Amino acid sequence: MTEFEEYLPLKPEFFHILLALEDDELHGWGIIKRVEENTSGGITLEPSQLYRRLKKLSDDGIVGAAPHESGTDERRRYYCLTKKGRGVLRAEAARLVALGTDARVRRLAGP
Amino acid sequence: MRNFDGKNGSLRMMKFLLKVYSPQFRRRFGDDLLGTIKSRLEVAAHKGKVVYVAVWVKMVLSMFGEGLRDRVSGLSRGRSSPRNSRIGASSDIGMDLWWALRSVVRAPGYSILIVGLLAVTIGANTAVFSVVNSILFDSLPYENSEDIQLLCETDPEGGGFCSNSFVNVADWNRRASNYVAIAAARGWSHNMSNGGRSEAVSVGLADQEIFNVFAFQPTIGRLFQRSDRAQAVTVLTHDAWRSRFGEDPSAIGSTISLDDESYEIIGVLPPGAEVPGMRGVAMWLPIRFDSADPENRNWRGFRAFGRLKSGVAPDPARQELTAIARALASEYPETNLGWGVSTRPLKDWVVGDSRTTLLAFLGAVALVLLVGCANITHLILTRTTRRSREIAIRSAIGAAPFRVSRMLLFENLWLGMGGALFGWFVASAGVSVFVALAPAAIPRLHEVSMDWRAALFLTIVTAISSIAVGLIPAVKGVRTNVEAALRTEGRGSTGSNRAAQSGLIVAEVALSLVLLLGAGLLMKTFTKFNQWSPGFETSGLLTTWVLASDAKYESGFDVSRLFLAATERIEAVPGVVSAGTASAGPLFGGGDGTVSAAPAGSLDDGGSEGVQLNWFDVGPGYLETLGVSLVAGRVFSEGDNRLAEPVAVLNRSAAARLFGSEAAVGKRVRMSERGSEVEVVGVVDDVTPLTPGEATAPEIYWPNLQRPRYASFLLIRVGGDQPTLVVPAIEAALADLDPDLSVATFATMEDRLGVRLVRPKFNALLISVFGLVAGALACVGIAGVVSFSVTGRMRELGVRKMLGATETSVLKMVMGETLRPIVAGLVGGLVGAVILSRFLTSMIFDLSPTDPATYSITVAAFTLVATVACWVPARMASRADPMIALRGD
Repeated sequence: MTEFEEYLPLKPEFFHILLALEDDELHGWGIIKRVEENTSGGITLEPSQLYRRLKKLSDDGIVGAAPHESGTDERRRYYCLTKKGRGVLRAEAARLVALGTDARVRRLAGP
Repeated sequence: MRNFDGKNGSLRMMKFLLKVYSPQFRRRFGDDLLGTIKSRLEVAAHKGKVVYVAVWVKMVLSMFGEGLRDRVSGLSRGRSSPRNSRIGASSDIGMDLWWALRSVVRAPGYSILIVGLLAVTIGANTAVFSVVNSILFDSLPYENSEDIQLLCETDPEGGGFCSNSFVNVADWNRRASNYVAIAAARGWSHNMSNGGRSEAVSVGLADQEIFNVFAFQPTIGRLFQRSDRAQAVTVLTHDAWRSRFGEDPSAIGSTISLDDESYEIIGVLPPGAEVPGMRGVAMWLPIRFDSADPENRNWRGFRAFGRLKSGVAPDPARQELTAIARALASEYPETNLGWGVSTRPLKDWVVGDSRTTLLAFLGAVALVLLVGCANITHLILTRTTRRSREIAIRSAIGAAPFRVSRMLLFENLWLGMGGALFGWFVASAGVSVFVALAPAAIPRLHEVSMDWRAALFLTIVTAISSIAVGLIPAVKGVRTNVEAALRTEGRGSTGSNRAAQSGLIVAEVALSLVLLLGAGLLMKTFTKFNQWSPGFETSGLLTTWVLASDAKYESGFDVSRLFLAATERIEAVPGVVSAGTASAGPLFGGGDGTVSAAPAGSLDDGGSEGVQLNWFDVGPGYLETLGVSLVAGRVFSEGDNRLAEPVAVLNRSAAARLFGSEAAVGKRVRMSERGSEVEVVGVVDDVTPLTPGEATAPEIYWPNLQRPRYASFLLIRVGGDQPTLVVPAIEAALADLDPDLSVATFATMEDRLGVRLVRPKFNALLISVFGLVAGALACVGIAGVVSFSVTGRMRELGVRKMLGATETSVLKMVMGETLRPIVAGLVGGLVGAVILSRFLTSMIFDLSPTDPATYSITVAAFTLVATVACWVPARMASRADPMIALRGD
């Protein structure tokens, strides 16, 4: 078991928060909107739900605060994936893909 | 972007809710979270009010839930297994919900009690909220109703009446640029001939602009136009069209006969199109009086309404009207000198002084809810403590503390949902009862209904109260000491429990005392009203009013002769002692107005410096029938007619104000009205004012044989116990005299007195019910706490008794522990009541809001009941056999 697999399986909201941060540093509202886009509205996070999850993720060292860049909104904190976070996200992605390649799962899902 | 007033408040609320989270969370994420919430609210605000409110409610609930989870996870850190703080793992919420429901259903007595308490308290709150919301906060049912104003000519003598001259109002309408329309209106009575019988109908007289002010559109036909002025046309209300014409469209163009003149029906108003203050009007007629007549400019007997052009602020509009009034005063100094104008939002006027009463109801019912919640917290706390063994076992076999708390919260959630469901029915019933019992003086009662806002209110109150009542028990559930709980078999009442329960007793006692004191003051007010005696014998008096057809009687003097004949006919009816007529009188409805008077020959000559007298036109026999005692001189006789010298009778106050200690009889009084002079022929006693504590008004009586009117009140004194028995004979006598004479319904003077009592009675009733419910809940709470605490301490008490403690000393000890929070609650309640009493001032009369007698009686009574509530279980405990108590373990 790698250090990342300890966190698996990820709950869907956590997975999508990490996915949202995968290619961008985002502030809270940005994460909410991105998750909503990525799941076509399937997951709508309330701000309070998001931040308690962010707290957990940052407690576990999976998400960190991004350094300021010029041009971004300075009043807001931006979040990014840590190295560990990328590892966890990759491990969960691999787990999902592995599930997808399981013939029984594919059969259950239908054509 | 749309801007909602509540936005800053919304954010403040969220900021406040942040306190639910742990300090560590707040430090790290607080600002960020608020920033994100702001973005979310801004986006929601673009989608309209409904979405905004829905999003807001969802966020409040989720802030609360997430904050609690944050706290609970903080509490459990270190003790729980690592899986619980993991971000993985599937949710067991469904399972917990199921277990919570099971546990609720398996304790039916307890669950029914809590659901019942919640249903009653939440239901009562929702009912009162619906009433207050519909009356105070809903807009009036007119298009852009906030643009409509009530306009009043202001009296140079500073009188508080709001009445206007229709001629001046028409001038305002012509000259003012800030208003879409300004119109004058008033009620009027006409005789409507209907197949040989005549019937008095209530009509509205109005400028043609009236329908533009209220933006009414006709259902069929058309409404007034400028050219209709002085035309005999009428617009029917929808009600009249339905009841008199069966909604037949061919009514348009047909005519109806009012006072033997034909009026053409030109249109019908839509259903519910009412002018405020003029309910029950059957049809509208244009004002057809001559506006060039200076008498009419001086006749201030109309209400005036104006609609501001959209976007015009009230201030500049009022300044413009004031300038116009000043111009009119210089053009018509005879009639307008010194008269100004004031404006007021229409809703303000419609809602009037009900605002404080209704808000007091809302405050009172909210206190009941708080007491109810405190009580439910007691119950849950007690049950949680009893279940500490079950909880300990759950913990011992691996349930994480937050799971235990969550299950306890879920139980409350189920109970809350049950409470909300039944609460909705309680609220619907409550609203119907309120509307049925409420005095008609409360405005807009017919608009009261339960809508989505009531549902929203119910949801929010339920959510907040179920979480609030579960908070202390849930936190305690987490903190259960597994070992201790398993050892004591879950019977003990721990020290921190006792502290929490004492705190709840303090709150319950304080809140109910506030309500009971309010109820006491209102009951005393009601008693004062009830004991009021007007200074004449009220039993055996019948009242009604009659209206003569002005087509049939050309001059007023013919009418006064008709009324004189009418009183003679009535007096001939067996059983009738005497009869009289008057233009107004005690309980008939105020008076017609005031006149400025001064002793003849004095310097000011009845000008603005004169004494303001309420005037009444009365027929011979009126003062005797009323039974007002004569102080000096004589009352009117049939000889005081138009051929004789003009005379008047003063009441004691008027005589004192005009002539001081000198005898008034034989003196002459000069009146501002038409500069006329009258001779005072008599002085009668004052009639006690209708409101206790109000000063007696100076009054002048004129004989209506000298100043005739077409409408008059009839006052009939009847011998025997049942005055209404003679009504058919009186009606027959009047019909025989003149079939065209309209006679209204008869009412006894005592009924009229009763009507006046309805409002204070209702106030006292409602607040007393709230107070008694809260007081009863508090006492049940006290008894419950004491009995629970002694049951848990039976062993301790048994040991004490074995060691020599007497029954009395045990009783004293147990009572002492509970009496302390009761006394603290009483002190708190007194302080609260004194602070809140100013909100009651408009509802109580002739009574200080901190009336010492009411306070001491209420406090004494409540203390007694509370002590009994605590004494009964304490005594049972003190009498228990120590051996049984000890063996019980």
